[in-house]
Amino acid sequence: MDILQTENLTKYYGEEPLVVKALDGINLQIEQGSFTAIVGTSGSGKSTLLHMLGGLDTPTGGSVVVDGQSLGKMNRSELTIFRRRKIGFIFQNYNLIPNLNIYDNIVLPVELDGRSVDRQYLDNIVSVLGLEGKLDRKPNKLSGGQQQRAAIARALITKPALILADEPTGNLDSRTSQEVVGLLQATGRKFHQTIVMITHNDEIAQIADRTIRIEDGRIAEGRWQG
Amino acid sequence: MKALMILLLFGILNLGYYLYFRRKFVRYSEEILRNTRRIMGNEKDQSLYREYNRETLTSKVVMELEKTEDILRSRMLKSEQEKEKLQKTISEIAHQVKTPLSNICMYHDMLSDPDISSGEAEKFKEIIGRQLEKLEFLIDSLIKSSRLESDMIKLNMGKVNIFHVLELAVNDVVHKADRKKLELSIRCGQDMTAVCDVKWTAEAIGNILDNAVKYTPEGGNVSINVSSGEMYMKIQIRDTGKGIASRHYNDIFKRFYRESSVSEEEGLGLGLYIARNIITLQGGYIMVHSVPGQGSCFSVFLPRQG
Repeated sequence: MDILQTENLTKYYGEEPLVVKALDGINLQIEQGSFTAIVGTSGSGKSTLLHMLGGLDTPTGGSVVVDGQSLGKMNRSELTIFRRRKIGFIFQNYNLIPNLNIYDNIVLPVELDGRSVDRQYLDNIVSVLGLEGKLDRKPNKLSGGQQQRAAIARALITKPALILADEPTGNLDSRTSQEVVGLLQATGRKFHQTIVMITHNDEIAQIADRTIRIEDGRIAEGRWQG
Repeated sequence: MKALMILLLFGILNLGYYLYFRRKFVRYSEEILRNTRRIMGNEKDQSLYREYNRETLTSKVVMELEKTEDILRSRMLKSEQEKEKLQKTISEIAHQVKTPLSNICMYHDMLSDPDISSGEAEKFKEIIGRQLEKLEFLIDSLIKSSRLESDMIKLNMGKVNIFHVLELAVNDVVHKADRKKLELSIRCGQDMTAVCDVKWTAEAIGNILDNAVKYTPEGGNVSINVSSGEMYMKIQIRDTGKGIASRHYNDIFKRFYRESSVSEEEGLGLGLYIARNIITLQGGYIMVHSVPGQGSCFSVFLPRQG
């Protein structure tokens, strides 16, 4: 079952004759539970693609359908709520809130939704990600790798349909990168999540089930690696 | 009199509030029930989307119910997929077994020919013997790999000394390495531990070592280096062999994959496939980095805690 489909997705900037084609007709299907890596050099359009997939930006043309719902048909508040409940984000620079402790950072999406935290699920996530004992610290007291693990926990807490990771290892050294991406895969498997990860690093990408190569706003190659 | 009137008014107001909120609650419950029925009925009815993505109680409950249904459905799908996988494995086994079997039949027929010399007969018997060995090895490996896939393996997980695991793994390849005059070295602290199954992990690492030895020319070296990260222990197996092109990084772990230039060498293409399954089942993973013509480095990550 496909959790995500895009049809002829395009994003153009500017007007004729100086049009920048950031995305030029992307057709994508992502299967539920899979780990997909989107690989490309800087400027290839991969970040733009991720922003479209997460409803953080609107396309010029084409459609994005997540879990059966078309993002283009939602108004701004519906989209905000959809993102809050259905999508988990992981960013290159972690984006943890500096004056909240780790526990508060992780449960933020659930509390914003006015719901109570599933304590058992949280404990499970925290244990898998090795964050026990760090929950009452502020982000600046954690290493880069630990902060990113907290960000992964935050992405998992709402049990989203889709987790989008934008260069999650970009700010980490190679050893920590290998650990973080290994954990990302392990949590994806364990908690039945679908993960789409953007990276320029071929070696990090090899851990995914499938690699899609993007170049000049188009898909150059897509291979299953199962 | 006035007091009574006020009391009565108060009573009526209360009753009014009660009826009003009761009606709201009943309506709300009906919405939930209706949506539940719809969700379990498996049709993505468009009219119900108006309940999505809103800041209402109903919306929250409905979306959560939907998530639950999704999780249940994907579990069911998973078990169907596993059945399909098993079917595929069985037919692959049948296919692989055909060649040695037909060879055995052929040479057996030839043996039954009364006109052959005793020298020829000896030769045929030897060939049959080798085919039988190959069959045995083949069936062994296939059964192992299908057991791993269908989770029929009982892993004995525990805190394990890595040096001990490496000793077991290296044991199996030491003679092959000697024969090729390869230098084999291990750098591992005596107190390095990880959570895994000793026997299976030794086998996985043994398979990787086997490959390293196989594809490294005479006089080269294979080195093992163990280091610890925050969440995982990393076991790196480096060789100075022919290397792997980066586009094949994932192909090498596929079942029956063998690079076109090595078909004369012994092997089935199952070693790395089994190794990856074993490591993944234990909550770890394998990554590879290689430079064609210079060598490869396999990194096996094992969790430090269960």
